[in-house]
Amino acid sequence: MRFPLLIAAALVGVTLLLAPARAEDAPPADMNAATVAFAEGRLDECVKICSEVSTSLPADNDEHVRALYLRGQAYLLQGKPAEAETDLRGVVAERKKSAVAHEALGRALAAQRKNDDAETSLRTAVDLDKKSATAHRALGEVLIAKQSYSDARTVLAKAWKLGPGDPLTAIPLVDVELGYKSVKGALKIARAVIKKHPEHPVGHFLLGRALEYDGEWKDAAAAYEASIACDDTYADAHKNLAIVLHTQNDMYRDREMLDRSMKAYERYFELGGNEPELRRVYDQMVAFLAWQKEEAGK
Amino acid sequence: MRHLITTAVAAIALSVLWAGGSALAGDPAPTGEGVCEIACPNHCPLAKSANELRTNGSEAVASSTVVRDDVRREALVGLARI
Repeated sequence: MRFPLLIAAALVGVTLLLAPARAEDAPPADMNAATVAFAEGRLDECVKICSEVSTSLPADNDEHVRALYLRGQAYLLQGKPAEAETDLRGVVAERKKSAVAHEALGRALAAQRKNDDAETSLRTAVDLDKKSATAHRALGEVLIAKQSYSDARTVLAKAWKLGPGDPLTAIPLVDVELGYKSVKGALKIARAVIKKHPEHPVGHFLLGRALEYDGEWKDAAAAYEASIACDDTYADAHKNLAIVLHTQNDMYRDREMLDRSMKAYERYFELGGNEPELRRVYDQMVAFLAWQKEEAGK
Repeated sequence: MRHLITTAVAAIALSVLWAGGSALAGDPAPTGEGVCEIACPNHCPLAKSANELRTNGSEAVASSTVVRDDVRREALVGLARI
């Protein structure tokens, strides 16, 4: 998976190197280093380099704008959407006709639940680039957040048509389909993702979701486990696996299933899962099991 | 008989613990024009609580290595177009 990222980083580097040189431009090598750091997930380093590049150049300089964009993206991945918004507003100010810029700003706003402003930015992005699957996807996600499900379904269907089989588009699309009780629709989308990306965790996870709504809990648990086999760091899969094994085990008669459920809960929390109500459920399960063990020992 | 009594006592204890807890978190699934529900055969109140807390997969960007790779790749494509 890292190999395609490095290819993308290399292509960006070549593009930067072939861009017309101007006397006031900073050496592109700095942005190359920032790009490689970003591609490899070294986000702190990327932010540091982008900060150095941007502070040394005027706001309308191309390298300055690219540095703001990349730093904004790094901030989003670091869970710092407010900082990302500041940078991406700077990008939009210099790139008013760029769908990519408006899309990125829209995502930063959506991450802060500024949904009305996010919708405005993302509609601009979609108007500027009607063939952008990612802009349509982001707009669909915001419309879901605003509970405009009918519009979300339309926009996400367009995103899917522009990028069929895309796992990240499938997540909100399956959400909407299940909300409309279209389990068959959800299953079809999940299977399309698995067919196109069999090693991707999201397709298997979404299949698990759809199968649960279809009443097939054993197959759903197997699908969640397949997702985990693709990517053990996918917290969502551990969470839903824990819940399906917990809820299907009436009065905990199946000890092995109970153990698997507790392990899945633990892994979810280990990966940073912080659903407070689920933590309460888990803590009370731990207390209950300890009490049960104590009673059994008497 | 002893097992039945233990299970009954456990169920009562769990009910008391659950009743003392905070309100359930909101429904994570969108409802749109219809509601999709998943049955919970486990009578334990903790299981009933957990049954409302499934994720739709959108937490992936925060944790999944693969999904974070995807997001970074999309951002790099955007960088080439800025």
